[in-house]
Amino acid sequence: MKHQRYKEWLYLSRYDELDAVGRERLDEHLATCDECRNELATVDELHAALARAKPVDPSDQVLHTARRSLHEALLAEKAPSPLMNRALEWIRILVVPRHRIVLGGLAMLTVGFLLGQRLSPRPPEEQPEPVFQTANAMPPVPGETGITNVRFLTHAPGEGEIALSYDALVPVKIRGTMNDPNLRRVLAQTLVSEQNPGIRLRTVNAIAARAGRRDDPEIKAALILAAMSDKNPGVRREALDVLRNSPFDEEVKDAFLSVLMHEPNPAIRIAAMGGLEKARAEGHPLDAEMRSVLKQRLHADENEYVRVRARTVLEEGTGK
Amino acid sequence: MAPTDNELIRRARRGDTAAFEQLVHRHDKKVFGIAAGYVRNAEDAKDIYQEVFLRVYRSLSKFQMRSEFSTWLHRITTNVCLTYQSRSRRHHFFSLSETEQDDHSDDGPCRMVADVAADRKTTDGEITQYVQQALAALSPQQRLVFTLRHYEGYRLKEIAAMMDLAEGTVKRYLFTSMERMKEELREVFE
Repeated sequence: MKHQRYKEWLYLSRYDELDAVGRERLDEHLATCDECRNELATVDELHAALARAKPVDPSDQVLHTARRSLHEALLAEKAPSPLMNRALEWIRILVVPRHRIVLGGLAMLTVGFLLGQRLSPRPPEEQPEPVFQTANAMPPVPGETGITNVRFLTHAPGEGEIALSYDALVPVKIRGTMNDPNLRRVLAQTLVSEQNPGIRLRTVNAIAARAGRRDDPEIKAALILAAMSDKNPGVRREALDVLRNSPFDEEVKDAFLSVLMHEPNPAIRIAAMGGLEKARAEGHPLDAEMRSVLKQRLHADENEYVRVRARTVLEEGTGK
Repeated sequence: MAPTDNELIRRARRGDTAAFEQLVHRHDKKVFGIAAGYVRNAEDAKDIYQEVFLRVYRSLSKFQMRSEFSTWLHRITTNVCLTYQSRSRRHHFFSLSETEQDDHSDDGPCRMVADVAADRKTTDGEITQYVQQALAALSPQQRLVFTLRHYEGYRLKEIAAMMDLAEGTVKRYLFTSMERMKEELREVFE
């Protein structure tokens, strides 16, 4: 039993997990016990063998791939099923004529509802302004309610009747400047969540064109994410360009370096390099991390122009 | 000034996905390192990575900020590791660098790094394979404790917190894993 404890202590001592008292007692024991000294030699050989095994060192490329997959998975978690896809799905389920009658009735009901909304008169004093200057008051736009997530209810309320439930989509219009936190939040969310790349591109352009709080953390985080992970190269390029004109800090630097390392499009890699050049011209010197990535691009980039630019940036950075 | 973890969590709870991914990027290298050390396979490590952060995303409202986010995150990571069922039940060694090239690509899933040093009885590549096999022989808890202590450098007290175990239990797992590794690797160093 005593030896068992000392054997355990041998392992703990090699990991520096033994306290001072334990180390002292172990040393005293080892001075007098051949068996435990032999065991210690075996433990040392085990550690030497483990040290020779190839270390587990996942590359940045593998991590980057994992991040992209996670990004897609998070979008899928958030995205609601589009109304049109669901509508088409029902239309496809035209197995027997009876279903056509039911669906025809549903279609007529829907059309009738929407027409009623559009055509029913309202007294003038109830007609609100469709566009509001402040994001604090964002009432719905009347007459434009859409429907989604329609479900047939299992019980029929009466003969010849159809029972269903649906969610009403209420569009909201918002107008403001980049100083408006609500507007910034909507833009940031759109940039990372919107499925349509054209909308994402317009969002980046809107952020770029309007002076104001581009250093807002939500906007910056969304731009960084878009520059590094957006599926559309145009969006990535535009997001990078906005970051180039934003205050340079550690997060922006990391974004440029990540793009340099992982971006498949050479023009975008060059744009990232331009960001580092601009930062250097503004007084931010090239640090060790930036030099390391630039050297890697100089030696390993498949694009000749990227290699040439990397050399130029490095040489200018050292004052050659 | 960069936002704190708790600030990013609050923003993520309000639906700010970018804030959540910013939080992920702060901590994901460690998570990936733990996963990769545990399964020693790129595809499985990516699966564990995704499962961990999706669980975090879905449970963010339950995190009460009484402890560090990293503590909670690492606890989820160890849970996912311990319950993970590999899509492939084989325990071959794969390079964790997707761009790595070697001269033995026709050897199939077991790529060995050849060492031509004539004075070595066993090459480093062979030792790597032995270690891989020895790790596969451990129980999930032993393998996880060994990975966290030996490869990731966590203290036993930290491992106990991550796995929600008593420190004595963790010590026992470490001892039994080392004993088992010693037996499996005996022919390497004897």
